[in-house]
Amino acid sequence: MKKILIIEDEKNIVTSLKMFLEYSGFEVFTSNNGSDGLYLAKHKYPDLILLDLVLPKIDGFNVCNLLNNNEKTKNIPIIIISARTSKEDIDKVISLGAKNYIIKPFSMDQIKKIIKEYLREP
Amino acid sequence: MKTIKGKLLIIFILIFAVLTANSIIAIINFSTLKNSIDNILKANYESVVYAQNMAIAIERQDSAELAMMFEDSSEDPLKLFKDYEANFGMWLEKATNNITEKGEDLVITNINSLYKEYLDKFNEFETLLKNNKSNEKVSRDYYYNEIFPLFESIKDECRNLLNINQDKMVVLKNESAVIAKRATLINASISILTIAISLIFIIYLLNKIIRSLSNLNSKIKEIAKGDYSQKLIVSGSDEIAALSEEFNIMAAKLQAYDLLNINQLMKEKQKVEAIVESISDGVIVTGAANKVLLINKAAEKFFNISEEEFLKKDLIYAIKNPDLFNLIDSVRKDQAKILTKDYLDLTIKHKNNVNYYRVIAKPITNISGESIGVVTLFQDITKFKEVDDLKSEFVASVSHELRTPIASVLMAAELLNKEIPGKTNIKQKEIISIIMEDGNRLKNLINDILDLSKLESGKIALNFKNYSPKEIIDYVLKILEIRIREENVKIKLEIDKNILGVKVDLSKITQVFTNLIENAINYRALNKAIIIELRAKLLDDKVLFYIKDNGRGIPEEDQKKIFDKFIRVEEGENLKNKGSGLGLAISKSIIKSHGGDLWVESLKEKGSTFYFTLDVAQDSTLMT
Repeated sequence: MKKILIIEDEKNIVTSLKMFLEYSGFEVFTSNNGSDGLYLAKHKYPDLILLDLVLPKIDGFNVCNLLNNNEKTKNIPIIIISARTSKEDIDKVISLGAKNYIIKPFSMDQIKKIIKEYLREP
Repeated sequence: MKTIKGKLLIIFILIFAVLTANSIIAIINFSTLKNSIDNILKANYESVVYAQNMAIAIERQDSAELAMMFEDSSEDPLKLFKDYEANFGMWLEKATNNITEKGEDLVITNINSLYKEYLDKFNEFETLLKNNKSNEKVSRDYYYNEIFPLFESIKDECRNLLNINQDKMVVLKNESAVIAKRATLINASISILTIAISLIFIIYLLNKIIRSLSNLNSKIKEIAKGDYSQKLIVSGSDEIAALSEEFNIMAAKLQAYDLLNINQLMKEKQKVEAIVESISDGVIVTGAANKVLLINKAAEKFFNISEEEFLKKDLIYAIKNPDLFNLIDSVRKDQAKILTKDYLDLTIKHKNNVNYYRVIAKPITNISGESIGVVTLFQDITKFKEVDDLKSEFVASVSHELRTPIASVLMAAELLNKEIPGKTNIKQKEIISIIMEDGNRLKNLINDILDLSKLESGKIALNFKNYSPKEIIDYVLKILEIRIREENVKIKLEIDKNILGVKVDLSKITQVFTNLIENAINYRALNKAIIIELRAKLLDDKVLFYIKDNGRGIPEEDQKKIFDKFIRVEEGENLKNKGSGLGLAISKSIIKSHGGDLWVESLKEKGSTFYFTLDVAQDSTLMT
């Protein structure tokens, strides 16, 4: 079973997303802040990370950068989920290593499609 | 005489007088001449005739006597003699009455006495002849001794008479010649003199007048050039003098008026300068070749330069901003039409802060409309920019804040809809669909507000590329493929063949097309099949697009309002995507940022046509 890590601080979104992804057959880990997220990424070996940009303590950009620079985690595809829409943010985070970006609100089908596209093949 | 008129009058009178005198003298001379001739004729020529006739008469008498002597019986000699005696007597009497010359009377007296004697001697001769019929010698001797000499004397005297008169005639003729010559000479002299004198006078006067006038002329030229200090020298008191005086008065008035004007102009200039200096916006005036003519206090402060330093120098030394320079230069060259905006937003970084200026450059033209300079206004919009930035930040953060809960709601509703948490009954399904519908509405509204805000504040960086109208429309139709098929929409295309391409941001322009086509579908006429015409027409440097539908049309009072925010007319047919009311506002904003315009023509029950313009691609390279 593929593993997906969700790093997102909005509790409600996490609940819905988790429910959907589990229903779709994924194993789901979640964290509501950047440092926990980093820890989980290093130890749980997810096949994909869904990362929000607005996070407490360390922000999403930094997390992305750290994930990308870490040996253990740099091969995990990162999809940014965020309500922020500016092109600058998008460009910045892509340059920091994110594979793609999906803007909230999004439909379940959308997220499923993008996960399928970027999921790490073993 | 003081005046020129007087002088001229005198000259003319003089000339006239002299000419008249001349004429009188001429007339007198002619009379004299005529008299001479008359005299000659009368006095002398007639006497000549008399003398000649007398000579002839006496010769006839002599012939008669000879005839008597030699008994020539062809005519009656005696009768002849008597006839000619009478004849002689007649001419003698005439001559006596015509004694005019000196010595004439003496001659006449002689002739008289001689003739008397001759007649006496003839009587004797006649007697002798009668008595001496046989002795002819007696009468012959008598004739040759007494009568013949007398006859000769008389003839001589006649000749004398003749000569006296003839001589006189010659004398008179010569005298006449002399008189005539003299008269001619006098006339000619007087005429020449008169002409010469009058010429001199006239030339003198004319010279005086012309000199005065040309002097006047040159002074007037000087005044026309602006030198009002010109004064004419007034000499004498004739008309020229009067004119010169009036001229001087006029020049003085002009000078005074000019001074007054200059003073006024100075005051105006100072007033304007004070105003310009006090304006809080920066003002820079440049002239030919972009040389600085004026930098007001505000501009000096903005750019940290001084007017003194850069006056008359090239603008580029004062403000080293190429965009600004290009703006001012192209306005000066009247190429401002090439610019897409009539203003420029300039950012100037000072030591501690950044200031923003809106720069507006307008040409200064002279009366004939030529550009002689540029006045550039720098409006400090830093505050506005700050407010604008705040607003954008606010909108961005608000929309961001709104997105998250909405995302959550939609995701939750979707889960329910997919029955992932568990099965739902029909009533529950209905409620769930309500949640999803309005959740989506909110989502669209938030997206639209953000879009519009970005568009209006010009923050969206548009990605302009060239596309052919067909490419764009194909792309749009692909996106709307499903909807078009579902609703059975008939699409008609009419694209001008000679449109090579238009300059657009593809995603944004697609948004416009989609918005308009979806509106056409949503506001369909209920009883007709939906027909939508898409047309592209080339107009000079722009392409006009039409999207025409056969829907229910837009009431006239709403036609302007529909481009406003949050306006929707009636209810759209389609319930899936209830619009936010911002669609047309966004489309209009997008078109505006492409440099075009969006408007509508519509008839209730017949349909609507939405028009918009886009710029033609400048070069023919197309990027697909």
